[in-house]
Amino acid sequence: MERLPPGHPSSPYNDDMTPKQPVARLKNLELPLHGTEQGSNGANASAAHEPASNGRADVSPAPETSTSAPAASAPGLPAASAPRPPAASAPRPASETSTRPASESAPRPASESAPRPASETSTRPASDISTRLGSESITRPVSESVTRLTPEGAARTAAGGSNGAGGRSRVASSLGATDRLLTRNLLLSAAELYETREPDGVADELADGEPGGPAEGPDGTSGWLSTPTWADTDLGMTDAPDAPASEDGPAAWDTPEWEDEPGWDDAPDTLTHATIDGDPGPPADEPLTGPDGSWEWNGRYLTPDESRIADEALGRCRIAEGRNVFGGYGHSGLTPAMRRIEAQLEHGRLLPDTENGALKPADSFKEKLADLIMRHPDKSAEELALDVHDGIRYTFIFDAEHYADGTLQAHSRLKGSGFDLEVRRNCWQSPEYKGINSRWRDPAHDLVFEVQFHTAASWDVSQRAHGLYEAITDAGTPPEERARLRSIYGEMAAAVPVPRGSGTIPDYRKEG
Amino acid sequence: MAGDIVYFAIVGTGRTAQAPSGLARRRYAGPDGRTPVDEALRRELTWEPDSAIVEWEFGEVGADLVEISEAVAARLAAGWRVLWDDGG
Repeated sequence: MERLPPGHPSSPYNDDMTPKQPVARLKNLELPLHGTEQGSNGANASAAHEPASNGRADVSPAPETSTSAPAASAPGLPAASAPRPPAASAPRPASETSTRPASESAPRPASESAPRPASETSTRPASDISTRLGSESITRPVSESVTRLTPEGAARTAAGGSNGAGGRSRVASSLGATDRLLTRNLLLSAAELYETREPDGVADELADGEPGGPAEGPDGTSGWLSTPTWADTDLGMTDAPDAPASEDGPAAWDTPEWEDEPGWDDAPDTLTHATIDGDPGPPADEPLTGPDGSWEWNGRYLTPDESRIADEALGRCRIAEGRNVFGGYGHSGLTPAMRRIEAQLEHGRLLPDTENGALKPADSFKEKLADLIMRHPDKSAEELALDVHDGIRYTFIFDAEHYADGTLQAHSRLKGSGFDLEVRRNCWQSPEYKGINSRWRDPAHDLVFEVQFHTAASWDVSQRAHGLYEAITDAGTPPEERARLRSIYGEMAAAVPVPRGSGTIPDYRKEG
Repeated sequence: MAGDIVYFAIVGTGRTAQAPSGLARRRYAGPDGRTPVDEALRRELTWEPDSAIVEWEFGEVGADLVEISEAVAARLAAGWRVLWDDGG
């Protein structure tokens, strides 16, 4: 370059022999990825409304054993770990009822019908199924967990453990032994958190509270005269339970933290470091979609057909929820309807981050569908995909003083908006979960969705204890450990004041 | 408590306790026989660990759980065995 004549495009010197400015290198101009990412279903992947999806591996104890103690005989009932009958290899109803071409609705992939590992093979003859009584002890080591191998995962299937998938496919997750120890430690940390953390509101933990709870108090509806009472409102209260003794909580739960969301100043300095940080490597346990369309995560597995069914159901949820292709909302859809209902409430409000948490993240949806498929063997995957009641979910928060009134008013507004109440469960007298959970149907989209009614205190506990809840409802958690965790959860829940009047709100389940 | 088993019909949407979509049970184990062990019946007709009962106790509003007798549970399981053996 130095020998080129001055002024040549590649010469380091100008015509007047002055040195040229150094050329900027392209890599130095590269901008880092920025901002939050949208999940495949349009939901914010980092939405706090769904801590389970990201936090599960962090807090759930790795299932290592599935323990069953000796049990009494039950005539006609199969024994635990009985051999798979011939029907087990038949295609599931999901595939049979699929309207897809035969090639797509073929029976389960080879991985499903593949012989089980020796450790899983029962030595009991099939004829025993109809004659063996009751259950028997099945304290199985991890290696004996029933595993449905994924096509590409057979080689790495190992100590997956059973965390709910049970007889269906325990897929060895990417969690190794060290990871499992780590999750155990983090679970302990969750318990320690309970011991040390102040009930500081809900702002920083707007995760998806799977559980919820109600309150009590017989005269809670007296303060809001313009609202119909539970007694004269046809909201499905035919089997009202006895009103439990109420325990008035504080007049209002201090929730200043709702406004205390992290600002730009608190954000990590991604602009500075994104281009120079090394590859952090893949997460310890992330969802995997196989080349054939199958899906696996957290020990759950969906066949290509089942995964497609889940995607279709998610698509319906996405449409019903109301977010448009530009990420905004118009007048139609459930979320705009909920915001209109919120605006009509005299007290209470939706969670601040409702728009980002209304849709259940795709992988959490699939995880739930996988559990339902195992749990409801007499239903097809298509039916079960429509039974995922919290594919879209909302949470109303009321102060304790107006909880009963506000919940009643919200019910009235929901019904007035055309939604049908299908199930309501008042859990304020539960020793663990506190709140009211309800399931509604949107006739316009023929979809069910969930609405929870909380006080700030019950919501706060449900979020702080969400890791515990995840572990408690992980079928792979050893029974003794589950009992211990439930005890901890109960201690946390006991601190939640039961709002006055909550006991007047009855359970309900629509017939038919 | 030890030796006791409580059976539940898992009543999914559109189903009844007489025609449920699944079965769950709780038995008790442990040194004192008081630790609950929850299971559900799989399509393979095996009882496997499952959290359906616990989730229901935590306010789940999906399927309902209805306690049934051991005999009814056995009858339902036998019916499914026949149904699924036939490829249903």
